[in-house]
Amino acid sequence: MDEVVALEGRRSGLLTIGRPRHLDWALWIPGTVLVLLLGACFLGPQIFGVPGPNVVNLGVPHVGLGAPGHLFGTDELGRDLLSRSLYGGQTSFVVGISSVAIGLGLGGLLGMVSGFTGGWLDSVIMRVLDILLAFPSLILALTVATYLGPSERNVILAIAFFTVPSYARVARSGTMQFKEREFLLAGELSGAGKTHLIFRHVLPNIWGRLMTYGLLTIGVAMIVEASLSFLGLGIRPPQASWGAMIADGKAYLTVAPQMALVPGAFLFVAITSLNMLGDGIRSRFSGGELW
Amino acid sequence: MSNANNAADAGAPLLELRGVSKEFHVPGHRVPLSAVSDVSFSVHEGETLGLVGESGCGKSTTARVIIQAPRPTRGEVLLRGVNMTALHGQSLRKARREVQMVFQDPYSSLDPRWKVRDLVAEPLRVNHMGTRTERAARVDELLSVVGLDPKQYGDRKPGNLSGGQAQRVGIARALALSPSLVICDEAVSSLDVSIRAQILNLLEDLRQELGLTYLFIAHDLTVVKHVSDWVGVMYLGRLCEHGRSDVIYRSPAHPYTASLLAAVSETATAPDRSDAGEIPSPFNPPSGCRFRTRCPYAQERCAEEVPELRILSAGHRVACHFPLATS
Repeated sequence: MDEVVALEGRRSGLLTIGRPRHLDWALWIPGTVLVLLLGACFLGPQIFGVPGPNVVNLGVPHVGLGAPGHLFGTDELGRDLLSRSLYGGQTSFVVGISSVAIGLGLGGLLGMVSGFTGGWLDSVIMRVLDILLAFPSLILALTVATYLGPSERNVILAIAFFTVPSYARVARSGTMQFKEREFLLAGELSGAGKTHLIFRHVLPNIWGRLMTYGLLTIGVAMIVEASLSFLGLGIRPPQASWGAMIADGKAYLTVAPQMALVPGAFLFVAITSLNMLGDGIRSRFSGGELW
Repeated sequence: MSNANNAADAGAPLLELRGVSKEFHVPGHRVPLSAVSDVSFSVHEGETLGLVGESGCGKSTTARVIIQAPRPTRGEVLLRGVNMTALHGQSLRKARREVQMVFQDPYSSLDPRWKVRDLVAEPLRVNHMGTRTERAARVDELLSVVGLDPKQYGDRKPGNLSGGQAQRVGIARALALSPSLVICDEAVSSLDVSIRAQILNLLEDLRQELGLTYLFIAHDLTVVKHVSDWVGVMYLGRLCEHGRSDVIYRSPAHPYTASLLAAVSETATAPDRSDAGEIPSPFNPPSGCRFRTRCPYAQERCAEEVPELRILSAGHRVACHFPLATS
């Protein structure tokens, strides 16, 4: 009964759950920052009228912050750092969100099937995923990215690949929890097949926690993208990406620190907001019930 | 043993259990848990069998074993003479439509994210019965049958219903496939006393209108008394007494039945407190008669020999070496 009430509250929306109001800022501040950042990255280049990210102007290399026409300075080729950071943000967000979407879809499906079916299939799927989980995630992504070669699509695949096991675990634990509830038996009795039970009953009930976990891992995925690009295994130059820009900037740290600091600051703000938003949502969902 | 019912019940029974046992392997225990042990009974069309016993006596497991979720470890479950235990896949799914279940907790048996209308329509939809409009009409009809106004309640979700209303939805769902047997597993136990009577009356009305057969599971003899033609009493996985309900209520032959009756009756003439003490572990049930450790009449023989369920009189079977005198 309490469970039902809790679910009821969850369904009625994030912002109407009977919680003290002072928790709201934990959602609103990072949420607003993220929306602004997303808006700036995807709409900003048009609105601000910045120069193209790959426009080389060898006449103005290593211009510092606040220079006329180049608010955040330029890099060694005179490319505008604000422009590159905004376009790089597009890459980071696209990679982060799409790799999470792929990983979430695949892992969620595996976890639900595994938890719902049980038996040997469950054991096989989970053990294979455990092995994947045992590898350090960056090493795994490095291996996949090296094997596939550097490109935006391959980075997405590499990141999606290593996140599958953790989504599968989340989906499986949720599925196991609802497996105990009688509505699945009731559905089975009424003649429903497994596909119907999984997609119409299990999935809607674990959707909330999957999405929350997904939001939390977008930040991780963006970090991995930056790391791969930093190591030269991610985004191909001249396409901008925060990680790749930091890598470029490291050679000029003493001459032009803005080359690494500007994309670094963008990355920092993005990751911090994503993590804070994830934490905020998690504490909204009545503590431990989520996992 | 399966023919032990009153000879007056002509024809083959709708449901028949033959020596059904269910054992569970529990991690950390070397011996299996014996939840149901060698249970045999039958239910005829249009009749109601009430199955009673303390919690943990195996009555709910018996219900689950009938619908093959899970399957019994031993024994056969026959529905209209068809052995359910031998069915698989599509044929089992088809046979299961004949048997529907009303659960104890409607909030657990109804998906909290579905609307009432969709919940009642689900059995029809997954079986591809009728068109969308035909199903909608059938859902309205079913909701009206269980006493819920489709307009008022159709678009609500279970969380916005009272316990009684939610249980009515559960009943409407169970009726959607026009089953012949409805298993009510503690269907009214979680309801308020006032609501309980309404639901019991509804079930009784439905039985008469639709010619339903019920297997009515409860831990409370008073609930069973009003709805049952037959009563089966279970203790620690075994059926210890089975008979026409008027006979059982008038003159119980098993000491356990007598103590259950004494617990609910207001009369001062209760026999010795034979239900004192803890229920023995189902991992290691007592030898011989499983009730002997709490039975005031237990003798040496009770520890040595398992009492068979034997016919005491027409339509009355008891598993006791020393049945109480029937008046």
